[in-house]
Amino acid sequence: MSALHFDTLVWHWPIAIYLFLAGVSAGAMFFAVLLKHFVLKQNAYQSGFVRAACIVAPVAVMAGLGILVADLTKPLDFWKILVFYNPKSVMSMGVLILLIYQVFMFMWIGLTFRKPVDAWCESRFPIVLKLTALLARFEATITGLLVILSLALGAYTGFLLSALPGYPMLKNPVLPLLFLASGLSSGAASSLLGGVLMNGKPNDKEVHFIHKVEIPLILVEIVLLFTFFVGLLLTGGQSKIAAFNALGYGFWGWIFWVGIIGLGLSGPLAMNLFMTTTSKRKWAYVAGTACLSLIGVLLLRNFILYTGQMTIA
Amino acid sequence: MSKRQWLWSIRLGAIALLLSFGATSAESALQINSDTTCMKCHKRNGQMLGHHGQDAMKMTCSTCHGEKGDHPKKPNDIVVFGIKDGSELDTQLAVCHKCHTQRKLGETEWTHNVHAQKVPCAACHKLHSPTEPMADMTPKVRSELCRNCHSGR
Amino acid sequence: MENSKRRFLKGTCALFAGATGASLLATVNAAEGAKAESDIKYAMIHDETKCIGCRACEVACRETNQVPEGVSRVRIEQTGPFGEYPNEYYHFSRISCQHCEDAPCVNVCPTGAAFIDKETGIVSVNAWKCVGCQYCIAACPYKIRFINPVTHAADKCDFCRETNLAQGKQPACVEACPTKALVFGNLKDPTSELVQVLRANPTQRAKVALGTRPKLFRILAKSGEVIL
Repeated sequence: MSALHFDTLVWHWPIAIYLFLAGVSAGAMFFAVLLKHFVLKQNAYQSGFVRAACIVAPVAVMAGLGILVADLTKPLDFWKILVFYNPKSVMSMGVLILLIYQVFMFMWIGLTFRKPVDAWCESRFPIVLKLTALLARFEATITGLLVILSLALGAYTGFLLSALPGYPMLKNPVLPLLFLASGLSSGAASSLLGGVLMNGKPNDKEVHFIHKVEIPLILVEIVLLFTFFVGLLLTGGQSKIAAFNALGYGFWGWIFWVGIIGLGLSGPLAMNLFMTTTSKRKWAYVAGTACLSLIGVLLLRNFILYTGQMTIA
Repeated sequence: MSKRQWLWSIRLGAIALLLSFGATSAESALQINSDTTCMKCHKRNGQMLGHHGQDAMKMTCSTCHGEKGDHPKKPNDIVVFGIKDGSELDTQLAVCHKCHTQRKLGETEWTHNVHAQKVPCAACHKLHSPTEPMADMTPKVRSELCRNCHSGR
Repeated sequence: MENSKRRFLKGTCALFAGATGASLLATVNAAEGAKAESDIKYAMIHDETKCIGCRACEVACRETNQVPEGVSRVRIEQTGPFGEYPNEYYHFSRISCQHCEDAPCVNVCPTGAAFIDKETGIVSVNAWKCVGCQYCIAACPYKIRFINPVTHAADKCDFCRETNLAQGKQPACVEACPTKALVFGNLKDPTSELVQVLRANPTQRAKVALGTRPKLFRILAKSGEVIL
């Protein structure tokens, strides 16, 4: 039995990448809304960080869905999952959430970039101006629903796995919360990374804001991971065996302790704390911290997916 | 003889030689089947064409069936293999176990273990035929074989 | 009141009325549907004390249901040998769909391709609707589902619902078993052989603690060993 190939493995790394991308998209939108609402207000579209978030979110969610369709054994029949629904299926409801989320995401992005969009379309497609005016009347509703949908999307990635009764490690109520927290964290990280790669400065107020949210977020993630595994150990039986299989010595043990706890959580936490104490941030620090965060979340998704499937009920 | 006659004799001789090969392959050229002690009477029903009859095995009819003794007069010590009209189970098994150990048999095929000392080997294995039915069985044929004896007690 | 506000109010009220009416209709339909419950609930018993491990069931299933090589709807898992020579024996267990009453595969299927046939209680797959997301394969705790390499859809034992049962025969495995180790019948019929055997023998089902309510029963054979 090797780390990446074993009898009870059904879902492979493409699913882990999809879960990662869905979380990134949800998190990016969440932080974009936060930035616009609390920090930037009307000029949000000029911020490199908001721009990065508004590029990352749609690209990530569509890339994730693309990977998902490619991973199907009947990829050309993917339309059936958009037409037939099963209310008891987390995946089915997730597809619905994804569809509605994308609609609201594009509406919100359109509203945020209303000024440049209107300016560009004024002479070419004047009808667009009527559209943006209509949307603007419901801005508060759209924003509110987008926040709810982002959080739902982030949590859905966890609920998807926790609906599997045959894997005691995955059939866990903490998983949706864990994936939501790490999804938001990855969204923040990708917005920061994208922002500083575009015209954002490492000392902008957006960076300060995001870092202020990121520190408690990482702490929450650590607490959730602790709760997750201690819960498994205390449940006993196959859950306890699953926890030992996941955290024990071996490929995945290294991934967890060094990759996730070390690089993915402790590293960014330390750097964030260091950066809050200093008044100036360096570009490399912001970008580096963001990269570590993203790597950590990607490793977490793979780790949970693979080790979760190692132990059956 | 003229050159023409020579050539024709050579051609005819070659053809005769080739034909003679065909003639002899109708009968088995295996050494075991040239043992006249048994073949005198059992030329038709006793031909050993299977794997056990190969020259390299250096086996004779007696290796498995025992010495001729008083055969065909009864009583005699000839070992008869089979479920119906066969010799005692232990006698039959002893012959095969001379070369085939139970442990090895069990390792190769698990069904040997559950039939140990209960069923004669000849119930399934047919050694005289050139193709042994137990070799290269499809799963379907295999399950049919089980059904022959095991049918809803 | 402005014209537009009036129109908005009318529209909303109409929407509400329509939605209420529709949901009321749905509940009435559901109630009626629930009343007409089927009186067939198929189940199967595998008597391990009679099983000889000949795999005639595997062969018959493959033939009857066109199951491609490399995958199987039913398999016999063999453990052993137990005991001492010359009385060694093996333990045979049937591994196949349990046709759970609360089937996780049906719950998770996004398109509804995995469904429970209301008439018979058989858990089945609509290969056309299946998109191959493999959620059901991950969800099944008994690990008996697989992707059919020919149809690329999820597949598993369906009690020969589309083959033998449709022709009024018993499932292929039941008919093929030489020792009559498989019994198939209707749980709701007290005169059926299945119910008689269930009442007369101690039976067991797999992973009951997961709450799946499986319908594949087994009469356990001894292992003759101390296995912790």
